[in-house]
Amino acid sequence: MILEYFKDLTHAPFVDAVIVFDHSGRVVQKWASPDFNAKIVEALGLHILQTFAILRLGDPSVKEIVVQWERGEIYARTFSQLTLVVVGKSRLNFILLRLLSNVAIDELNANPRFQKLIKKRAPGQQDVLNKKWLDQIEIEYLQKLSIPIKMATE
Amino acid sequence: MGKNTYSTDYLVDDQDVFELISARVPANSNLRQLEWAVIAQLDGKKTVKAIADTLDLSKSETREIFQNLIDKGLLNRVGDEKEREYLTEEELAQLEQGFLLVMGPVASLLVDEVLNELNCKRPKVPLSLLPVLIEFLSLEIENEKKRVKFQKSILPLVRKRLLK
Repeated sequence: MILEYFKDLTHAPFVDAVIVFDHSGRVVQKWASPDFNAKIVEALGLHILQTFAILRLGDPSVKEIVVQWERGEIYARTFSQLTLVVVGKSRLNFILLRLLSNVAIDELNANPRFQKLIKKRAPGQQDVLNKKWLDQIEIEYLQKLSIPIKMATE
Repeated sequence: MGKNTYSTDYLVDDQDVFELISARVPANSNLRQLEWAVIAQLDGKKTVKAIADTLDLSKSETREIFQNLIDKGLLNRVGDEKEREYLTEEELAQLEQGFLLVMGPVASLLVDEVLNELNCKRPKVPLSLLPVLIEFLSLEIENEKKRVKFQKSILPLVRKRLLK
């Protein structure tokens, strides 16, 4: 149901995958183009959620990020009830993606079924820095960044 | 709007398709053997990946070769013509009409201002600037609901011209 609202994003040039996460780091829905390895979509998305969470610890006003990876770029944007991750080639048009996601989220928020669904799922806070998602190297990295790791991994 | 990071570097993509700008490669191009091999494969249809697979090139070799050929001004990416397309006058009027509905009579003036900022003049507005134009105009709309209303009004045009 949710991906229906983000359908335009799947038609944007150079987009390979779209993933929608709730704020507890669970995948709500995902889509990958047939020529893209669907198995790595979730792992990529989770990696971006962690990057996002780290950045937002330092600056909670960060709402959008673009990360380069070996096959292109990843655009991620957080909304009040979910986080959108778009994986694409190196020529992603972020301004177009922002426009499409603006309209999509507005229509999604007006859908009572979505509000019910999110209410059921969301525990109320982002916990992608929870220890269960991190390996030892990532924990050490976070500690070096002087991020309150105790709070972040509780 | 949140914080944005834009990449300005163009990375050669696996799915890109290139063609030679000129049928003859200048004699002083000093091309290496592998660069000639890549040129021999260019037909305006094969993707970078297909050529790399045919010649058994690694990713870094592929990227380096294509980048060199682009830097030497020998290649044209197929599809770049689309970036030289313009909005039609009707499409520009449609955009302006949507903006007028939320901004009132100052809309036309603001559109001109934004076009000026983007260094373009009516009626020659490049299609590739459409998302930026919509974003700049949206920033002029303080009320968030009205902003989304404007963006929704222009979505059919965006779908028609920019989406697959």
